[in-house]
Amino acid sequence: MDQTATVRLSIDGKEIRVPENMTILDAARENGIRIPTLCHHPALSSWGGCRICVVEVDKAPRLVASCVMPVREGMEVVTSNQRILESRRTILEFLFAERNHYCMFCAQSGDCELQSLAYELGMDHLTVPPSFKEFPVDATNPYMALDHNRCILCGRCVRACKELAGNSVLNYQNRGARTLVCKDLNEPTADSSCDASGVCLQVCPTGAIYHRLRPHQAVLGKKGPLRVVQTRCPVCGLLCETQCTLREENLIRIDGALSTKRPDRGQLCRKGRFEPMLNRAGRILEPMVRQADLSLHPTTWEDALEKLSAGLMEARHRKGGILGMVCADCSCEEMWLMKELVEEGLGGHLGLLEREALVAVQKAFREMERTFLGLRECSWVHLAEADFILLVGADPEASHPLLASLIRRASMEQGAKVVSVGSTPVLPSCKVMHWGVAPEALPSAARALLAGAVQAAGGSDPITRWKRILSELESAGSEGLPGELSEEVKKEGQEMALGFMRANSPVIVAGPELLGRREHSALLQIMFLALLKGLLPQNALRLILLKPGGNAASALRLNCLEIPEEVEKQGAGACLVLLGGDQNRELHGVVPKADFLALIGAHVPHELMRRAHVVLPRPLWPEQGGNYLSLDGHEVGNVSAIQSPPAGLRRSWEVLLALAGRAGIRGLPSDPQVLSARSLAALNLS
Amino acid sequence: MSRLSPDSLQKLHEEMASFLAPRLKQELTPGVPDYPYHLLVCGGTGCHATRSLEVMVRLRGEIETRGLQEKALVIETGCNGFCAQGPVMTVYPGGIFYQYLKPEDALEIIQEHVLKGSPVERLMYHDPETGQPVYRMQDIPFFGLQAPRVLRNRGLIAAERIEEYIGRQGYLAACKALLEMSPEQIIKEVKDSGLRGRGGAGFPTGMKWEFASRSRARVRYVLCNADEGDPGAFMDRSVLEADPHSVLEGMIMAAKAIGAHQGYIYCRAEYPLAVKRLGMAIEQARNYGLLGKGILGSGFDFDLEIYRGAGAFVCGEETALMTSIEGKRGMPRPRPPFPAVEGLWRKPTVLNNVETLASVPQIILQGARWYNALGTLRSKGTKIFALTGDIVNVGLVEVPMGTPLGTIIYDITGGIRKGKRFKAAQLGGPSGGCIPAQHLNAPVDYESITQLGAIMGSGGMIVMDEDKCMVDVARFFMEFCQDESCGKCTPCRVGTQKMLEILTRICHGEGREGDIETLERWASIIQNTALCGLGQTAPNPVLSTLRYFRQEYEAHIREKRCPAVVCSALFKAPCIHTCPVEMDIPTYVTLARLGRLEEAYKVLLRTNPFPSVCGRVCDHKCELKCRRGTLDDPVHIKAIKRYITDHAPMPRQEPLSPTRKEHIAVVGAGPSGLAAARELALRGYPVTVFEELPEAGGMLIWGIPEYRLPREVLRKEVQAILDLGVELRCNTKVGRDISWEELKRGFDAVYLAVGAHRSMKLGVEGEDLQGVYGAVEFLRKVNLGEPPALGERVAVIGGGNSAIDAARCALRLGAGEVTILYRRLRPDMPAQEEEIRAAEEEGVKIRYLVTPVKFLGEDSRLREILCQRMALGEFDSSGRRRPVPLQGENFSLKADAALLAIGQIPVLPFPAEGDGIKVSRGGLIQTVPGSKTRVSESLIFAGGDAVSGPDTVIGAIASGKVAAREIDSAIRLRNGEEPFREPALAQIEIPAEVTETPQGPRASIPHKDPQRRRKDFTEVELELPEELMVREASRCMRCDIQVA
Repeated sequence: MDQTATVRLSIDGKEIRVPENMTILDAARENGIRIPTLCHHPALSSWGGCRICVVEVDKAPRLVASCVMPVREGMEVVTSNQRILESRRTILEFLFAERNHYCMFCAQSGDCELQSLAYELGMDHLTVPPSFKEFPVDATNPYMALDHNRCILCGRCVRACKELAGNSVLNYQNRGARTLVCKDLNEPTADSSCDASGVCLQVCPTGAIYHRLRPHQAVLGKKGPLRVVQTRCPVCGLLCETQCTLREENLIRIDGALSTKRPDRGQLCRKGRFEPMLNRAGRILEPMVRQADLSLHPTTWEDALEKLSAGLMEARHRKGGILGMVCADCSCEEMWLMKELVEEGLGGHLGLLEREALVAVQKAFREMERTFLGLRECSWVHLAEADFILLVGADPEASHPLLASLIRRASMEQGAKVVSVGSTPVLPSCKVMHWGVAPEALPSAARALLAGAVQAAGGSDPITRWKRILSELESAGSEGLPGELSEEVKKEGQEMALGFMRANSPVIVAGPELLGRREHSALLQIMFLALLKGLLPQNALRLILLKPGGNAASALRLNCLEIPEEVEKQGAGACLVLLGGDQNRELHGVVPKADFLALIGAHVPHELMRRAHVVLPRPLWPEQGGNYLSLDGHEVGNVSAIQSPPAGLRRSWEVLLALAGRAGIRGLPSDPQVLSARSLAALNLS
Repeated sequence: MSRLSPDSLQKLHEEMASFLAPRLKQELTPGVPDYPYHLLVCGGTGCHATRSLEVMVRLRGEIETRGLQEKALVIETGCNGFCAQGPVMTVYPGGIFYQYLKPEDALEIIQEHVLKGSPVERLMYHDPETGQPVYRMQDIPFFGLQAPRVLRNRGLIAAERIEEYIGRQGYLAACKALLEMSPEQIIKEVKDSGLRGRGGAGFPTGMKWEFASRSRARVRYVLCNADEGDPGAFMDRSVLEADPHSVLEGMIMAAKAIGAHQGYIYCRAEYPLAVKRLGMAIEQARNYGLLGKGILGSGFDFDLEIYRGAGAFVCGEETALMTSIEGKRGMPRPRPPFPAVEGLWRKPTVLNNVETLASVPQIILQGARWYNALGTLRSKGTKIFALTGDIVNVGLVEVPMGTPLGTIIYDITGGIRKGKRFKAAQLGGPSGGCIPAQHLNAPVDYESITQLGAIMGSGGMIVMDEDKCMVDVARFFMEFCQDESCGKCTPCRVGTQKMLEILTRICHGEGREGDIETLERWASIIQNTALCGLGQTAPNPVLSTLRYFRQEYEAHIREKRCPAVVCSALFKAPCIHTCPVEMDIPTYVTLARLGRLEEAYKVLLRTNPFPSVCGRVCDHKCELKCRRGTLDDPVHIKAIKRYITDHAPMPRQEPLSPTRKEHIAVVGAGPSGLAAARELALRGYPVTVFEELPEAGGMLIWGIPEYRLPREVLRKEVQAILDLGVELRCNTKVGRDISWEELKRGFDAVYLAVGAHRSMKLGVEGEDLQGVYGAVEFLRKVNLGEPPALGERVAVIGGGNSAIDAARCALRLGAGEVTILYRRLRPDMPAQEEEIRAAEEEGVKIRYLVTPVKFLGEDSRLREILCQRMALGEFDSSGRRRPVPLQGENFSLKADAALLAIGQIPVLPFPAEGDGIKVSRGGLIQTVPGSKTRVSESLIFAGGDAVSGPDTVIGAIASGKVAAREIDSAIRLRNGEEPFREPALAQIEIPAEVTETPQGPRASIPHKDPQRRRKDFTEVELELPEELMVREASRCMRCDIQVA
């Protein structure tokens, strides 16, 4: 039983009992008494700056800020009387008069906490003469702008940047009335270390930090029915909880769930918050087939499906057979249906577009399976409590910005040591010990690390076993190691390994430079290194692999990473590619040549478009949802669709089922729920 | 150097004490060298700035070339405190004090003082009263009246040598605390001593330590706040520069008391010398094992670091200071949690000010009872003040708590510069407030100061004279606060900015009705809602100036006038703004310089009907504010004015025919009445002036003797007014020759300018004896040509201009011996200084600090005056010291006549309290609120001496002009007419050029020879020769020219 001590106090004459250490504000709110606030935010630390929440305690002349004042036994609190209201109103007027708060010209009008406070406190005119000084606007970031004219210096953004994003880009400059929020050493956003997570935008109570992609879409300020849908973000595999706000079918805002219990504290990164809202010019919205004039022409679904299935059937027995390709952003359902269609139904092969980025992973896991059955990666949430983080060939800020913020926070809040081994320095706004290693020297570095760790671990029994394996590996000379390691490399590796071994809960984060190697020995050595420190629950290694896309873990489970070597080299009879990504981004992999090429996607790279015979549109993730497996494979996230696809579009699983029907493949479930269940079962995740 | 043990510390102390022994020897036999000499040169920041280092180098050089190394030792001490006189040096034995040293003085000091034992009088402090050199430092009032405790080593030890500190019992307290005392005992001793935080808030130090010691946390910190940032404060800097080890020792004891092992000194980077000496002190203490592991073998560890602050004022606030040490932006945090619970890095922390910590060693060594023997009930010990501003001796003083403010300002630091009036002392910096003259008796301790609306603060005291505008002062401090606000909380960040905007507007003459109330409302909200002390106290300077100087704010807002003549947006030139009738001084001075005297006379007459009178008897306040005076001497405005009126023909004024039907009566043909009559006539009113006496002129003719104001001068200007069409009825007394009721019936408005023609009585026995006269009555008789027989010995009682006039007239009437009896000292005399001097030249004796208590006579004729000697006691509400009788110090003075000049009251022509007109207890007519001259609902107005009491000529003229304006606008308002529009002035072109004259004293006005002039009533002051007049006029700096 929790033995938290409680105190008794009265608020506005009401006797209440609350746990000690609670603030007056929380005590009041818990008891249904409203105290207005501005700089206070439940997801952030207390600040006590705006003084809007002042209350009277024990009739003292000096008012106290209820958001920071702890309760005390016998305290008598008054939250509202003439003096308090006059003070609040004057403070509010001070804020309005300080900069240029002319609501009717503000994009945020209607959705502004400052404005609604004015209504609440009955501030219908200003008695404090306003200043007419013009402040700068920083619009150097494509997603959000910082307009100092509307800033009230509540410091929410500064705290959010530090406490949630762990980035500390934002701070203040100058003093007194000249105080401005600034980035780094007063850099414009574009030149600063800001990674545009947008958490500052989410907590800004006014229009000071505003959305540039939807600049005139204040959530509350416009007419029209609003809809808020809770879902998960499938973009990078961390499955962040998001809150999407829509007016009719228009997505006007994506926010993080700041009340979450997850260690990411409810933030989102630029990929989850802003990129889904980017302009979708160039999107494919109707089926197309290549006509006799050799160019693609729009056509009906029936015609396109007919041409597609004919092309596949014809190629079935041709050299190279049928090749299916999925993108790492596809949902579990899509991947499983593709596998059923291509491998089971048509006898072809299914491969992953981003396969080259994961070559070593597939091989290493196979190897691991051989030696240590059932080992897996650990969950990414371990990063939050790590005290030593070893980055190997990884740049989390580029691929998984949220993990980057967890690392920065671990470094800042717990003093976790962060060490990076790789070709370029990473995480510029975090204290990182960087060991610069060229890609070709990465195996040596990995070997040095492992050697150092083995040495540090001493000669206990399990260790001898690892040593044996190590020597086996070395004798195999798997990656043409340049003989003996230099003393310098050895020493550096030794030191890092020592830090790793001494830490209480170290975690290794391995990235593309390691995962995409042809030879997998370096990755294996890193796996051994993780193994040396012992396993986490659920047979999990202290290792996180930064895979591309949002659902690469599923591809790994479906064992569809590779494609046969001869197909890779000589091409396939027909190739059906399912592109999952929303954006017209560069493909992570190569589509082998094929006599017949069919594409399903929302955006298709020009180079593929030129080669395609049939192109079918695909809805984006907010339009069709689906299940996604988290980066580490530990969790299934159900991403619900938040809006309907554009008119005339079919959901990709409907298209795949229709194709299967035409190819005469039976037994695939047409009910979406059954389909989901079957696909999860195929992934051993039911 | 090696680590010290308690025994070796004691041994070192004894060795050093005998080395320092000569410095404690106060005796000296002039002419006999007493070796070795210790030459203690001040090495504080102030003296460094005045080249004390060069003096030191020269002294050492002289010693070396003469091979006197064994006989004389030059030592660089920390700040000595007497900063205004720097560079300073004290030579022991004897404690001979030298000031304003120059490197070239070194030779003489070595030759005379060191070699011959004869101190150099030339370089000593000289008593301002007697002009005599003061040999010993202790005999200078600045030092003699102080009680140095924290500053006990100032100017006495080498600041950069730990051994000298040890020689002065240094670290013996730490030794005692570490080896013999428990933390509880240390805390108890400090609590019992009553020591309170010297940083400003005055929180009991012992209690603070106790809170921190109770915490269960393992790591704790001791911090020293050396982020002294108040404008004008340099106490902490001086302590750090002069005696850094006392702070370290205090911190060691604080550490022991609360169980801390690490400390920080947060010192502002703007104090490079303090930081350097602190660094040296820490290094030396570490080398001796007085910091670090196992201090003095006690097993107690404590070490220190200096953290340099980047000059943010808010970092003096404790939580902001800690945030800053943590490496973050120095912004305050909300309390609770208090630092004693969660401070630096969220660990229990004690933060004390430099002075507090430096007080601790003596408390531990000498005991709480020794410490709290000084001070008041709730404020114990001593306090250091940094005195700056308009005082004679700027510097650092340490006095017992409870010392009256006036004692500090007048006795220790020598009073206000240039003999000006004390206006207010600003205590506590931007968080503090002003204490005005009426509270000079206030004891300086925490409670009394707070009660007066200021705070003790860290000890910065800015003394301001009459030339400081309190609105401007408030604006200055508000600007400081809004600039230094950290920007975290709204009330402080925005509120101070908005208050500053209002204050700036007021200073620019754009103040509006309601501004004061808004300032007060915002001030209270900011005080009660701001996050930290900076914001909570930021409105204090405004509130305290509003409390004591509200009328100055009102003058700025309503009259667009800055009474102290500071807010330059409100005026063209200080002289114009100071003049009660705003005479266009720079214009007529320039015209006089160019020889265009007739035009100059026209300019004079625009604002003043009596320019030639004012050229002779005006008190010329304009000259007090003349900016030339800040360079050398003020321009001789009065003499130039007289020259113009003496040399140019008076411009003719054509008679005006009345354009208005309302008939105005003026009672009294003095300067006020005539000025009103002229102004009214110019506005078209028919005016009748009633005068009781046979001739017009009032006090100008019946009060001021002819030797100061020849009658033809006056008559010329009176006639010019009558020439306008003003009717004058002499020998007509209202109430006797025409009844009061009749007057009210017969005229539309009445202006009462009856003056103050009755002398006040002393109220002592024998005042009705023959030979005792009122001075006004006496002067009137003299001017009427019927002087009374005075006899041989005449005593005049009083110190104003009437007293001087009476005395000088008595002399001219043949009295052999004229003595003025004045109950205070000369600087307090209201009479003009040149008048006093002239009287003395003529042979008038003045006896100060004397008051008559009884007039003794024979046959009802005065023979003798029994006098009481007085001494100056506490300060009265005017800021002057109140004379108090010295018991048993009576003497008698033979006198044949006594003239009482202690004050005058009006004789009113109507029954007291008649017509709803209020009369004060002093007999003066009171005006209705909101008006300067109106006295009743019906159109009755009053002005001049009858309202103000005895005042100057120009004051009377001004009130007459105001009355005319108010009468006119009241009539127009009643009639529903448009307000009067001033007719356009004839354009007079004057060149906007500034002539540059070399610096030098002003011309002195020639006077008739005193021995000759005391025999008759011819004019005493002679006119300036033309050449001198032109030179004087060229000295005008033309403040009226606006440079774009």
